[in-house]
This record gives sequence, structure tokens and C-alpha cells, in this order.
Amino acid sequence: MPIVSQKVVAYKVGAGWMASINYLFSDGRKLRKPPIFCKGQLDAEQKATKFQAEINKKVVLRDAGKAVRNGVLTAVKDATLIQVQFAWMQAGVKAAIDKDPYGAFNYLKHHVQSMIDSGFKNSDLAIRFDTDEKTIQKIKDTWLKLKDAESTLMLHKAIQEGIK
Amino acid sequence: MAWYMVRDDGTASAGGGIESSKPTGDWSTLGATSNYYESIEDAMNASPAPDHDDMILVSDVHDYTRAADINYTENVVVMSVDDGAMEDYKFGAKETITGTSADFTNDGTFKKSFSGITFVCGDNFAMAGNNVGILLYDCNIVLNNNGSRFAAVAVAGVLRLINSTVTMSVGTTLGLFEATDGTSIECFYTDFITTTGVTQDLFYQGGGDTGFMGLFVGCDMSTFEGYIIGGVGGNESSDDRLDVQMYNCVIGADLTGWIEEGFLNWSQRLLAVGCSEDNAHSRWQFYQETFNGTVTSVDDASVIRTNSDVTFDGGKTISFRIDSTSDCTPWIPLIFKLPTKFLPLSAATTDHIEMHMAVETMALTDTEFWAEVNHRDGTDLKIPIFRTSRELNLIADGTPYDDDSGSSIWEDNGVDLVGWNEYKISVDTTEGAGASDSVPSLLINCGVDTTSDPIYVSINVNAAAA
Repeated sequence: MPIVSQKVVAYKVGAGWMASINYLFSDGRKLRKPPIFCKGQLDAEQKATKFQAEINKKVVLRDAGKAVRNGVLTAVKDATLIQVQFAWMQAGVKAAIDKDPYGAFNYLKHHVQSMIDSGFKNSDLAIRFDTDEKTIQKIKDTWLKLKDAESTLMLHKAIQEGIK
Repeated sequence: MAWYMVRDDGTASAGGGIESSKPTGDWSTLGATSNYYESIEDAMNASPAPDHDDMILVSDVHDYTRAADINYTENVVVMSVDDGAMEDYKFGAKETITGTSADFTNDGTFKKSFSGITFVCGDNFAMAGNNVGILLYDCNIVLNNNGSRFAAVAVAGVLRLINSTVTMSVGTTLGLFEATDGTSIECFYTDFITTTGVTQDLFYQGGGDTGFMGLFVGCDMSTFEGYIIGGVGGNESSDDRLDVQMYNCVIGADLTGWIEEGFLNWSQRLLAVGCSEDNAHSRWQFYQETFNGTVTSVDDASVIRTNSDVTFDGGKTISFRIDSTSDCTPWIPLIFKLPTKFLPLSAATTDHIEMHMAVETMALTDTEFWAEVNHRDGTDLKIPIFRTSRELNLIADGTPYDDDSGSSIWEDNGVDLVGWNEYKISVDTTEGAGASDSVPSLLINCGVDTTSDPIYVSINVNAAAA
């Protein structure tokens, strides 16, 4: 849902200005951007307009992130199915970096194998998921390592559960 | 204590470059090149390895270059000394990594300090060891490639720069520090310079795995054109503690804002005091950003209480503008510390602490907005006494504060604010043993959304009679 309006209020601070910016989205959601430095009301409004594309993108990422946290595999609010899938994959890589291989496995198991099986090149996948080829390769590598160790991961998890 | 000697023409191995007494005089007195190491890393890898009470002395003409990572991994002091008089400290030693992918790394739990040394980075100046400590004093860190940065992912690690310079020579376009894992970045009297390109953010992304803390005192940060904290803060689950405090720093006229994304967690805060690009403003600048709003100091170009005895140059007085969000409630208020001064609270004529605020339309009550005072006990001075103007029945309807329009004069850019609600809060300090003469601590609590109606609090806090 895109931004439908913005409320910008510039106020004098010392020799310069600051401005508060609040955005309203078409689904009724509101987002406050922290105050910015500006040269006055007009400058602040122009800057606020420039920020809109970036803000829209961040709201989508936030929705996709919420989908992962809530265990949702489908499109949610502003986030499309592809964006939610990518959020799951990013969560998996992050969990792997954070030394949580079992968690990483569970994040990555939903989409990565089918992505690999699709046969698309990294360059195509990078376009599809709005990322770069390096990131795609990192996701694939992480998944393949975890998949190879699946039985060990499950055993480790079972031991953890057993000693709780 | 031993001295490990380093100059780039050295060839020492094992314990060959160790002096048992403090070296003096010209470097040539060390004799053959086999009596000193080629690099700081070689000295750290010597046998026996240096320990925390040892020193690695590096000639100020040392100029070592490598294409791969350089790893600093010992508890040790590293110092640049005069090649002509080794007993004298002298800035000048240099270690360089060529290419664009290799790092200076600081793994392990080691604590070390470097003085007088220039580090020219290929990619990053990195720290990754748990509880690692790095002190850079009078150093120059050159980030030479686009994307180079301080990569601070050390669990509870500390990176401290004192009287140093960070030179970004090919446009570190996104941000200088990427910190996670509870790392502390502390910079004192350090200048950040961009010689080519544009540097956007001071902190960019990171913030995960317990986040980071930043403390900047007396630094020149005028080179940054983006945000002090950018690309992080807007993800409630993955962005952890982000706590940056800045005191008496120069910021740039081109800075876009203090933070890019609205904070969502209680552990996130940016506090800037005395930080501006403008001479006059820098004397009274204050800015606080938390998850439920901002507090900004404003002067007579905005809304102030004119009858104030707390003034800056030219008789200028200021107030604090509160822009709180809908996340503010009487039970989860926006809180900030109002500067205070010495108050003679022990005298009967001055045993109430008074402060003043104004708001255009909102009627403020003592359940929505209040002051919390902490002062010294009147008899047992070491005992802190807590007072509040808050209604003690937290669920009760509030009582409006006293109308102060008869004695206060509030103006917006010199124009009297007719019709505004002007209030006074008076906190009684007489109960029990009363208060001693002291500098009380004063926290303002705002429990209402001021998105459309900012509240202004005068910096003028006085001691008065009941």
C-alpha cells in the first residue's frame, strides 16, 4: 500500500531548521520519520517526497519480516509472496551466521531447495528477489551445507530437548 | 618488561628482536636487521610472545605493506618512536594493506593500545574477538576503498579512538561504523575527514545481537552527510540496543538527520548535546531521540519563555520542544533529563522547585505530564530523596496544572503567544527532613502524544517559595 499523504512541519532550531514528517499509507497505517534537518518548510516537503520511495520499500521489508516472525509463508500486507520468500531466506542466513544452524535450517527449508531445483541462474534469481548474485549464492551455499548435515542437526536438537 | 623492536627492513624471527632494557639513541644502535622485526604482526608472533607489560616500539619511519590480512593478536602496547632517538615518542609509523578485500583484524580477547601509527586499510579495520579492547591514540586510520569501514562485531568489545584521525579517501559511501554484538565505540577528540567522495552515515546497519553503544566527545563529524545512525532501528525484532551519545561535536551543515529510521525498541536512543554546525547553536544544542519521540532545544526564533534567568550569549534563553508519538501514554512516557543548576533548597523561601511549560491547545494534567525530582536529603546529605508532581493514583483523572499566564511570558519568534496554555509545576521539597542546597536531578515525563501540539518546557528551573 503506497503512501497517500505526508504531513511535514518545519520548525526553527538555532540558525537552521528541522522538520517532523509523518506519512499516511492507503491502508490507514501511519509512519513517523525522525526529524530531518532542512532549510525551511518547502525544502522539508521536497525532502519528504524524495524519501517516499525508500519508505515504501522499508514498509514492505517490515511486512515481510513480520511474516517470517509469525511463521507465515504467503504474501502479507504490502509484501508480495516473493518478498516474503526472500525474507525467510535472509532470516536463515542470519541464523546461520548467529550460530543457530537448526534455526537456519528451518528458515531455509521452505524455499531454497525449490529455488535451486528451478534451474534459474543466479543472475535471474537476483532479479527475481531484488538482490545481488552474491547474496543468492550465499543462500544456496548455506542451505546445501545445512541439508548435508540434516541428520546431525536433528540429533543435536533431540539431545538439546532431552537435557532441558 | 621487554621491548619488541619493529622496522620494515627488519629480519628478526623468534626472540631475535627483543630488547631486555629500554632502548635509547639512534635505531642503528640495535645493530643488524636480525635484531628487529619486519612488522608489528611479526613482533606479536615472536617467541616469547609479548604480554601486557611489554611494549612493541616501532620506528617512525616504518612503512610496511602487505596485500593480505594483518592480524593483531596480543595483549600489548604498540608505539611509534623516533628513529633517531628511540626513547622519544613520535607519530609516523605506518602499516598498509593493499587491494580492496583484506582487513586489519583484531580477533581474540586481547587488549592493546596503539599510539602514533597510521593504518591504511585495504578493506576494513575489523574487530571480532569477545571482549577485545583496542585503543588508538594519536593514530590515523585511512579507509582507502569504497565500502571500507570499521567492522565491529566483537561481543562486548571496545574500540576507543583518542586524539586520532579517520581519513576516508575514496568515499566510504554508506557508513563508517558497522557494529553489532554489544560493541562499544568510543571516540574522543577525533576528526573524521573525507578527502574524496561522500560519506553518508556514522553508523550504518549492524545493530543486531545486542546492538552497539557509541560515545563521541569533542569530535569533528562535519563530514557526514547522511545520518548519525542510518539503515538500522526500524526492525523491532532484529535491531537491538542502539545507544549513541554525542557531546560537543561538530556536525555538518549537510547532515540529513540524526537518525534515519524511527526507533522501535526501548533500548534505542540518540542523545546529542552541544553538537551543531553553528557557533551560537552549539552552546545550547540538545537533541534526544527515543522510541516514543524527540526532544529538541529551541531558542527565541521559536517558542521560549522570555522571563528566564538562565541565559546564553546575548541573553538568549531556550526551551525544550517535545515531539512525542502515539506510543506515549501516562504509563509509558517519554522521559528526558532537564538541565538543572545549584538551588538553595534548604531555605524556607526557596524550598520549592519550579518549572514552566507551554502548549498551544492541550490541557495538561498531573497524570499526563509530570516532573520527577531527585535531591539531597536536608539532614543526611548522602541520601537521595525522590519527589514528583505526578498524581499518585495512577489511574485517576488528572488535575490541571496551575495557570501561569499571569507571570510567564511565552513568545514564538518574538510574538506573544496569546491563547496558549501556560503552566507552572511546583515540586515541594519540604516533607520529612526537606532538602539540602544542591544540584537536583530533574526528569520530565511526557505521557501524551504531541504530534500535532508540541509541548515546550523552559530551561529555567528555579527555587521558589510555596
